[in-house]
Amino acid sequence: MISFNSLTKRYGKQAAVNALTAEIRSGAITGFLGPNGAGKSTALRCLLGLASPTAGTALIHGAPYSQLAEPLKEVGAVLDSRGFHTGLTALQNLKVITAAAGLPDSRALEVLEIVELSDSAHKRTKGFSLGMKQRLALAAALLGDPQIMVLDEPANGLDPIGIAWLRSFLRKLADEGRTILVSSHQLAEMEHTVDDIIIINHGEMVVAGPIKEIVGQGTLEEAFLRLTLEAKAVAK
Amino acid sequence: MKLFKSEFRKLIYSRTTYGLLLAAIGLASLTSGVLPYVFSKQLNPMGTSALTQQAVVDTVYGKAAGAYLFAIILGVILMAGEFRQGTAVATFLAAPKRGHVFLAKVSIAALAGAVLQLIASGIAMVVAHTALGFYPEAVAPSDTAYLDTILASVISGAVLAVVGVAVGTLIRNQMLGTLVAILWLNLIEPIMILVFPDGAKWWATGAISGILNLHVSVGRNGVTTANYLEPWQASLLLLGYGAVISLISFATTLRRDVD
Repeated sequence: MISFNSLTKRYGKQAAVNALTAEIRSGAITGFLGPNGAGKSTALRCLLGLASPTAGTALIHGAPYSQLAEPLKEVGAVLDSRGFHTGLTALQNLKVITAAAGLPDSRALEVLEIVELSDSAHKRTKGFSLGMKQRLALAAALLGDPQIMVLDEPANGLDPIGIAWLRSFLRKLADEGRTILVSSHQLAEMEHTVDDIIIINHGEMVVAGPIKEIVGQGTLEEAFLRLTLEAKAVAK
Repeated sequence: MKLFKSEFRKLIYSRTTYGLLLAAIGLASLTSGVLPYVFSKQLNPMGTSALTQQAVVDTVYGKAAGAYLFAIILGVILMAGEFRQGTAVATFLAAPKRGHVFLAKVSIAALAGAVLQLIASGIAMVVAHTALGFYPEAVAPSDTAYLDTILASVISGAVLAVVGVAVGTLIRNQMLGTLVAILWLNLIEPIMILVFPDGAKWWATGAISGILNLHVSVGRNGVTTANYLEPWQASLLLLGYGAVISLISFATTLRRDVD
């Protein structure tokens, strides 16, 4: 279970996230949606202990990330595709993480196979395409075989084939009973991927719930525009 | 132990580590190899070669410990490199207790810095010995010259690598952190020692000279190592610097967000 409880993160006078309260349903794919700069990444970084909330909490199984006994076995995260040492091979990058998490090195080869990168295991990541880096990031997130996956803009920069692969990959993970929280500003893509959505704008929650209920007969993009304009009008 | 293993892997997997080791060997060997020639051209008051003075020969061997710059750069890269490459996120996701990560990193940095300096100074001492062999007038070094050089190498390598990690924590930009370390050791400290020669023994490079236990005077500027701290005092001073700057950066690391 993931929960945001009045989460607020300020940088100076600017509130990147403002009193965000939401709960993520277990065993479903939840889209964390909003335009660029809406506060999605900041909220996820607070959830993962990389940024300190100004107020409120972001909890996993009722505890801050930093209090999890074996974090990689409980949560797998993809925050950006830049998280690998370009001078190391894909396998070496993963073995650095398996060592830190106390996981067997054989798991690194297993996850490379899952994300279809086995052939590139011994290649330095410097020459990796963005799609390969995203797959490697997913492999790293899967190292601990976690029940919760937190993915920040995993489709960024992917070509249509990569996006299709990602979509089926996320569905496969959800079918295994995992809870997936995936942020994106690509509404059309998320419409085909997620079960529930949380929409935020200017750091504040606009709406949360099952996508079918929120979107209704139209598209996610139409619902998003309507709801954010309504929220703006209420705020005025 | 898990984090130590992870940090050790980062160190040995990176080609930069081996590049810095080669550079350290090159600098220490070049200095130790060229100095006998330089000193052979300098005459002491009695009109004989400076190499007839034991303190001068000890200095030649002592210069084998002079590649500590690469230990501090190694430390900076170990920490600031995490932010440059973006691997800090993966590191702190795997080990969210940042104090544990910092402790593992400074421990591995200390070990790596000591080994780097030990290898570089060991090879450079062989080079010094070979180079001195070309000058029949050169006297034998003092009984403690080898041990002092090895001690100075190991302690300076370990402590400065830890200081490098601390600098890399405070200044997350790898290039800037490296530049600050280079400027500090090669420009700021030498200038301060020239301006305030009486305080030379309190600087990091002065402490390293103190560990070397050399007693030489340098030219017209009045800098003399005769009044430097004893090796054990200089070692404690250097370790103190490492501990203080580590504590400062440790406290800072705990508070700052990871981008």
